[in-house]
Amino acid sequence: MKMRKNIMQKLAVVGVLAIVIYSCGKDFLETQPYGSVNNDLLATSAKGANALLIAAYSNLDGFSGWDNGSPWGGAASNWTFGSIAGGDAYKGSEAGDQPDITPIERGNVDANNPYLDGKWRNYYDGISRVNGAIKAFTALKDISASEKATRLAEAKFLRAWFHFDLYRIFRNIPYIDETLDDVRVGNATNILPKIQADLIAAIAALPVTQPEIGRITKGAAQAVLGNTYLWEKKYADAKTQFDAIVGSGRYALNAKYHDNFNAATRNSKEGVLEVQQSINDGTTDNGNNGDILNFPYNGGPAGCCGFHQPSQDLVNAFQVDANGLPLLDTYSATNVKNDDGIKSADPFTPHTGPLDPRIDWTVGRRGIPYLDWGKHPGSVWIRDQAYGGPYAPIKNTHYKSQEGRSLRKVV
Amino acid sequence: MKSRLAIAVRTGLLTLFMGLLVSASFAQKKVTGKVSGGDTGGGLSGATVKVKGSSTATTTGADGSYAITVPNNGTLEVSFVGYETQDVKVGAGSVVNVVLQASSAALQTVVVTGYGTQEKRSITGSVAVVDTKEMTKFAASNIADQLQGKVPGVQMSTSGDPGAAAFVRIRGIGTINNNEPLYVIDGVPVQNESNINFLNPNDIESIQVLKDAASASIYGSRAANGVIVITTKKGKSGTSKLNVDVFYGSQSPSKIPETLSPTEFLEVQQKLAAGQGIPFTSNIYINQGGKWVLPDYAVRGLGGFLAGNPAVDPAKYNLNLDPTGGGVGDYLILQTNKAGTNWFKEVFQPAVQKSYQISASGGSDKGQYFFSGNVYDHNGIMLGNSYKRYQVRVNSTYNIGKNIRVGENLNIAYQTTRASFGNPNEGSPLIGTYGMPQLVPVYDIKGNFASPANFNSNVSNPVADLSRNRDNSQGHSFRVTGSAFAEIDLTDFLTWKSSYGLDYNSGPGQYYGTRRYDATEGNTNPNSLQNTYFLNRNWVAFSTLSFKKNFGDHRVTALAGYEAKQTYYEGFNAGGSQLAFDNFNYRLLQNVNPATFYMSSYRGEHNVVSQFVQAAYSLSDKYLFSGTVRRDGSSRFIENKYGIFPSASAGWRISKEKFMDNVKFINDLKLRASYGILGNNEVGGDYPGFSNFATSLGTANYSINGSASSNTVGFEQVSTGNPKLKWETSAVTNIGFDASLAGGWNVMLEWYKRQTRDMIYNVELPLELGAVGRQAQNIGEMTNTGLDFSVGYTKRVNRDFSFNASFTGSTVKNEVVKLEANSNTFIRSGGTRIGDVTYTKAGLPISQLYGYIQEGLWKSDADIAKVLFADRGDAKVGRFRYKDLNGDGKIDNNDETFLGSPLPKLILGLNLTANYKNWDFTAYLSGNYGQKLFNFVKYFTHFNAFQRSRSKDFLYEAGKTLPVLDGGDNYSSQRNSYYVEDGSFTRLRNLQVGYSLNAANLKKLGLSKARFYVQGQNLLTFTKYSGLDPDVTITNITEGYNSQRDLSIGLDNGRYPLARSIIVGVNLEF
Repeated sequence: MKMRKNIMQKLAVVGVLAIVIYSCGKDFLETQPYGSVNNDLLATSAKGANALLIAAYSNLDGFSGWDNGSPWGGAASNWTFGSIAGGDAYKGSEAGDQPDITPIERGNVDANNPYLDGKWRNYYDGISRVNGAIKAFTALKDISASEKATRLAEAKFLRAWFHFDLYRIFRNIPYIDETLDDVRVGNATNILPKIQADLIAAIAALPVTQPEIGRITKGAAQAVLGNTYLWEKKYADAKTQFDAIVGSGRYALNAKYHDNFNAATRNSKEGVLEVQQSINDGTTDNGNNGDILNFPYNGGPAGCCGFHQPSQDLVNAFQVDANGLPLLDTYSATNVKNDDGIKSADPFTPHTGPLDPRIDWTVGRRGIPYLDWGKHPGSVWIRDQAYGGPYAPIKNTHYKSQEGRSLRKVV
Repeated sequence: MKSRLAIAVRTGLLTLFMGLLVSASFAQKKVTGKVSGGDTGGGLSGATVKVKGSSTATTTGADGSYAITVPNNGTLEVSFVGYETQDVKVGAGSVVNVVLQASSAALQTVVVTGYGTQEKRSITGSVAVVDTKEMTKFAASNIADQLQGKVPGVQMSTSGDPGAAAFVRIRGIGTINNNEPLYVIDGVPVQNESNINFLNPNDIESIQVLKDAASASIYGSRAANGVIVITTKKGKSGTSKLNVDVFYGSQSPSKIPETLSPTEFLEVQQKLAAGQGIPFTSNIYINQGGKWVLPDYAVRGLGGFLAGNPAVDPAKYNLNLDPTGGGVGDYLILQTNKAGTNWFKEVFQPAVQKSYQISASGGSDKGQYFFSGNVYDHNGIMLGNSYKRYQVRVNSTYNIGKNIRVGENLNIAYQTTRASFGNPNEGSPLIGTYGMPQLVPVYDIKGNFASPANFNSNVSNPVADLSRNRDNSQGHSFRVTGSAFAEIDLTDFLTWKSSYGLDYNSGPGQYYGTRRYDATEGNTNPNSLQNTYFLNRNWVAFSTLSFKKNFGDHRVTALAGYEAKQTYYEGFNAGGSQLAFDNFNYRLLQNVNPATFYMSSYRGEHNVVSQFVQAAYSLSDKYLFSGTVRRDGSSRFIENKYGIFPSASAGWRISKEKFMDNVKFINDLKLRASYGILGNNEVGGDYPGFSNFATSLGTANYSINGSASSNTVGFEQVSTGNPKLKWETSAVTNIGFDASLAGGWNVMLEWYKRQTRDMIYNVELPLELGAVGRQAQNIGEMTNTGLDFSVGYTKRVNRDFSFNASFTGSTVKNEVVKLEANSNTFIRSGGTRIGDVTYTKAGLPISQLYGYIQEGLWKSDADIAKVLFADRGDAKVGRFRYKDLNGDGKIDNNDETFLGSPLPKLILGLNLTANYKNWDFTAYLSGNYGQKLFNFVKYFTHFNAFQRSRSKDFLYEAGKTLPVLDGGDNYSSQRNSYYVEDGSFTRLRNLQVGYSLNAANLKKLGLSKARFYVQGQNLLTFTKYSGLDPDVTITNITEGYNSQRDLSIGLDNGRYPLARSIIVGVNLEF
């Protein structure tokens, strides 16, 4: 009797244990990721295809995640590859900060430079997103013919734009479209014709205005196409495009020069192609963070980081003659007066000679009101005057009255 | 069914009876003699001499002599603690001298391996058994501190950050994938986690380190990096004990670097300007008739002033503490500290470490229990950071009838970490402390934190940051680990065991940012709040059927089992900024400005199913064979879910052979060899098979309608799947011997070769494909070959004095055999401001330091012109002279090369213990030799990088070993061999002296044991390395896609230095 109880006891325990352990289902090893969807689900609806296209738009600001490089590396404004490489501005800040810009400034960049990497990665990422959207829209049935045509045209513009900006920086680059499975296609052929073909196709289908103001218009595509002709010195072809823009009646000059840069007057009548920025939208990544380093230092607006300091050459170019006309060939014969080497506590009188008034909407300089932040105090707003010169950037700076949310701290 | 106990009792009684009968009926004689120790040769006092089969017994006197009455032809059984018991047949003579051999008790040690236990003598794989009795004598915050230098082939590294994980590498770096060993605590694998601080070191009964495939393959997946098997204490039948263990320690920094004094710093800045060829100007210093002097006061944003200047009138002082006010109207005045603020002394301060523990254990034939409770409080030497642990453990076993045992092991720990230092990086308070100008005081004239902003030095007051972090940054973890099990003896040779283990860890975190009005950058940023919550829930269930039977000389054991395991995690974080008040109690999410609110959550799981069989056979305890096969299926893989991991091993106990009988100096000798394959599926994510799309506010969404404060949802590709991904495998060959020699020597030597194939790495796809996530691929091969050895010597000099010395060592040679990622054959890592400083490339060991070769300074323009004939670049007299490796007359990336290996050539440990009467003494030393480190901290302390304060070398070595001071020089600071230093070191990790009360005193106090000790930790370090701590070798700081990889080892970017501490403690047993 005891023995039977013993055996029953053992069997009962083993039975229960065995049942518990084998109760894992068959799909125990078939797990799916959370929080994301696959392309089949996404690309087969108008909603999904549009979302793919929006993501392509989002690369216009030059930032698509830190894995693609810093926001400032791929900045849409091209402050490094444009104004610094071109001599309008110095790297600024101090010698040891972002030293990778120095070779860009000096024209001896090597292939390891992370700024090149950032630009390249971000724009090819944009191209990849465009190609995904093009594939989705092309295959999509549940959509009106006109919407399909417009969206495909927007996508082609974006593809052309990304390639064109890369072309301007790198020149010999591969052209990637939606037909390629293997993207290792080489860079031996001039890609400008392909860029132009995309733009011409886009112009044909794009409307002059879009209900959503951030979407690409016919005017934007014509402007970029015209620009590509300039690179080929096809001035007549370029003029045709530019004339079409003017002739559309959609555009006019702003009354104030600074309205082109002020967030409050964004998407103005003068703007042909504007990258949309937003703040207080749950992230700090959409508020023009490509230029986040480019504010005065120490107590000035945003407090950081003192990069992108206008050059004396740029300042000198605002010198005008008695008639207010620029000194085309002799502007740098004399320097505009600056406060280099003068402490903020010591007196300084700004330059008194004639200057184009646009200088003070382009360059922050001592003794002149810096938007509504008070007069620029000179060297205390400059991180290392001996290194970066006495000037501060101003175009991308917000007004004190516009101060909303903090900008990311960057060293 | 008759009880075995009853049989035993009856047999015993019968024997006793027969013995009595025999002793009564045969002739007897008196025998005298001396018992001595084979190791010392001296007499053993207190040894037991017993007539075998009778109750007649005596003990030896002070000189080891004895006298006893024995029947003719009787047998004496002589025993003494620490020696092998010996039977001596009494012959014709009346004098019997006995020499006892020191026991090799270690051979009988029962070792927990795989899903069962094994006696050490029958082990054929590579299993290091840690002497936990010695180990737990030490007060320590975690077991890694205690294990250091004790197990050959195991490298450990801990930082001084309280509560931080220890880094452990078994037999070097085996893969470019994850190298963390697997921890198995009471049969429950601790998943994806190298931090086992929740475990109280005092609860540990035994630790085994499984190093080769034969021993580890039973664990299959994740066993490739070795397994650390930890078993916690159990109660013992027939006893009940209460233990109280308390220790208290005082820690202090072991090294305080020197930085520039205020006048030296001024001199440096003037020389930097002069070197650049520009006039010196400054807002902070005062120009007195052409001579620059230190200011008496400074006002933020205005500069320095002498006393009496109206600008520094205290009435003007204003600090706008309105958290959302952005510092409008701030007028911050500080009085300069001309004598110089020693920022290191302000930041690194003596700190207390304490532990209180009570444990109770006991049992009867109905069951056993072990209970412990512990409070551990560890303040870091860096201001504000601390770790606190409240922990309870309950281990019980219940015997149901004779054949069923059920029980549980349960550990509950609540841990709080404040102001955690985290991964070292350039924004850390440590790097900031190097850079703080000494002229800045800690507090300004109103007692608020003083700001270094006038120096434009982009550092912030570290005292301010750390004091705030103490309250603002805290993470909590409530962690329950344990298992419930049932064990059933189905027959006397078959046992079924089932176990259900759980590792549940969850907790909230709160990170608050007070407005840092004193910061140089971001001082106008508003306050911010982030709340986080995480939950990790891992369970593992296994059942095994084990077989154990002896057939004469044939001993057979076998085991078959099934296991299922799930790792599940989820969490969220949410936050925002601009709270109206800074009060601690006001910090709730609804109080942030809604426009700044953000949130996100995550979730994932990883499941593994396994089957395994193991069999061992031993013939006459002489020839040992063992084999294991484990099959693992992982949800991480799509097409190649299953991996099969076999192993085989054999051992030969030569000392058991007849021909060894005459070899007196060998007590035990075993040769062993093994080969097997292990698996690794640590991909760096749980879904490497899927190509998926997700939305992202910052990188996929776009304000398509022009809104300045909202955006439209976009979807970007976030992952690129590889359905063909398969298990990474390591094939390990292990050959070794263990010998126990006469005179108290123990020797172990092992050679191994580990070949890792199909190494998994998250490969960057061609950039032209876009950022579609990295793709996990099997891309490479790596080989490690090495030796592990240990030599131990135990000597009992006399009754009062004994000592033990054990010496462990290991060498390992690492080579990346193949690496093919996206047609690249190397991986760059260790990103710094001067680029990636480590390269991993086929044909070389992992993570080689990389950069230019620096050869002194450029001496003259002629020198430059001669070498850099094509392009002199930024070369200038007085700057670093780089070697033009390819001789093309210019310095560019083609002149960079490999500058050294961060892998130690040799790792040694020396453990010394001695006992004299009631005193015990222990010293542990360990060291790494032959590794190079990239001291990146020097970028901030030795070069013209930022306008920060720097090391004294920056001034005094300028023009000698360092470049001349030149504010325009960022040529000399490029990655180069100057940063590379010899990181060899020898460290006296622990030194302890203990005193135990003797029995008479204990009785009076009602105690059964009482021991007091004083311990010094990290008292001495011998090294040429100039950084704070050379033990940074295995600090893996790679983040992101390929985190927890060892691709950037050797990079020192300012790790939290180890403290030197003095600890006093007491162990009481009732």
